[in-house]
Amino acid sequence: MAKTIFLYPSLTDELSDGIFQAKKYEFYYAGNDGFEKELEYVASEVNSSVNCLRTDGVWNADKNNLQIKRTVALKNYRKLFGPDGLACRNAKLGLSLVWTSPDSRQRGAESIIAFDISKEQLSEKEDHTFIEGEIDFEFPCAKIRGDIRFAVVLYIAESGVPESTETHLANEEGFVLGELDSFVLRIDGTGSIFPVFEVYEKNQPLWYVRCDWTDPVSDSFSETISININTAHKNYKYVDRNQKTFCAQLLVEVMSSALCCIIEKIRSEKYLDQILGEDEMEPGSVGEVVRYFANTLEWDFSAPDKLSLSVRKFFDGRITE
Amino acid sequence: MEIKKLNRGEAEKAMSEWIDSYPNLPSVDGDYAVLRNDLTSLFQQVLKSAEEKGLKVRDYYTDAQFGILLFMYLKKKPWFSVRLAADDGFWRYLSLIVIPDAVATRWGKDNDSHYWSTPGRIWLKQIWWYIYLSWNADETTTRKIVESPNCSTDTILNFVERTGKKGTCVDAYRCIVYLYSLFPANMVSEYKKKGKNHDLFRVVMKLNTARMMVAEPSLCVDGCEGYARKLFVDAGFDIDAALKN
Repeated sequence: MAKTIFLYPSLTDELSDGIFQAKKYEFYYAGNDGFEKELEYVASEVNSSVNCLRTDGVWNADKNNLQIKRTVALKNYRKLFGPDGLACRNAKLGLSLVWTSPDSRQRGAESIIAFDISKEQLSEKEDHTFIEGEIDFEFPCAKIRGDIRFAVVLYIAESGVPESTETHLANEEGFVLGELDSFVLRIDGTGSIFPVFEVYEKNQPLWYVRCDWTDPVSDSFSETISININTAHKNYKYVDRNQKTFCAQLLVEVMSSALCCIIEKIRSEKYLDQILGEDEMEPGSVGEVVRYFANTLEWDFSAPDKLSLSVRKFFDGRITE
Repeated sequence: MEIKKLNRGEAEKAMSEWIDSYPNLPSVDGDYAVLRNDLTSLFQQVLKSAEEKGLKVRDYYTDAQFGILLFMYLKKKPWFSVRLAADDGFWRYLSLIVIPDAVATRWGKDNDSHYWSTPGRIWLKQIWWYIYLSWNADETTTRKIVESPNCSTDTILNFVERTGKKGTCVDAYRCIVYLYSLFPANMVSEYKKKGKNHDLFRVVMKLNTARMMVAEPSLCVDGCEGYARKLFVDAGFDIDAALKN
């Protein structure tokens, strides 16, 4: 699916520049003694914009709640109102925390603050507008899993009465004008980027790959792809690390061919351009992992033969005797 | 109770074992044997009822009725949560090890997308989420919604299989299906006559997918209810007339 087309003026880099300030996200839970305990997080290796919650074995997603706190502020926001902005001068704008989690199959929103602009503020020589708000919101235990994306969005909190110069502006309550900031929290590991499994199937080849995605831009990589190695095959002994007959080169061939297969299938379904472009991919999705292969591992996607070479170079260095 | 799950590789293996040993069930013990007994008797109830009503087993009636029974059963279990319901591993285990015979009755013994391979199509998961997203106050009210003549397998498809890429806004979905269930059936079929792809529910869900990208249901006028209502209005359906009774 193509990028969202906004029918109304929405938050551009220019408008959002310099207006949003916020402290870090802080996570807590209610401990057994009733006191709040803080949880730390670290950036993931595969995708540095994903932050993994450090539970240290104490916090349990099924038994504990998860509190999210953050102090946010908006300054010099006068430009958001009026014909060159996003909302009518007498409308009310708001900041809201929108959370989305395909892994939990759920999403929701919590409003943070709502604000408007006074005639005085509009006519002052300089823009001194400033407002602060707190995000303080809780997930009960056993509600979410996997990755959750938090976005601070700007939205129309209350419609105004547009003047003649403001009729091109959005003016419907609930309308989201854009995102100021986003953050992905991972509370459960969602699987390896090389989902390899062993199967036992007589009369089948040594390996095959299964691609069961419906939409690679959002479907989870680990839930829709499997690379199956057949332990029933007479030549399995050459790809089994635990046997003397293990041949690293054969495993390099299997893994390289499997990954090329997956990527060529995406190319044939016409998703590759989108995945290698700027559109946002869901955390943990097929698209995100493929993008990691291209951007971080620097595999050459320009043509099937180039891809084959760069993938093999990668596994050559990785799979050894 | 220890929750058992299957990863994709294990599921693939279990599927071929199921096909080979059909109709013999894989062995389970302890809590899972009890679970098998309970769910099987609930499923038998649904089949019997379908037979008495002269309805096809491989159809919506089975989906909705077993969905409700499955939902109410799991609701009472302390080990079950919406978090677990979002975990495909759990549903794969249930579909391939605990009651594969029920899945086979509905979708055939070798239709692997409904057992494990296509996340959106795992039957047990689909029907549970259908009831969860239609849930309204209690079992009786929810039953009324899913038993409405306007609801069919297409409703499940459009509701569960095709939507919620970024997660579903549960409250908004509940409002949408609640309103939809109230409309007189003749008005819904009148709407369908407008064009080939003019199934009201499908149109509304497509509009919802598009609109979710630029609006937050809970932040709209009258919240999720207002949001749901507006979808029907914008789809060209006369909702005021439909709700007059």
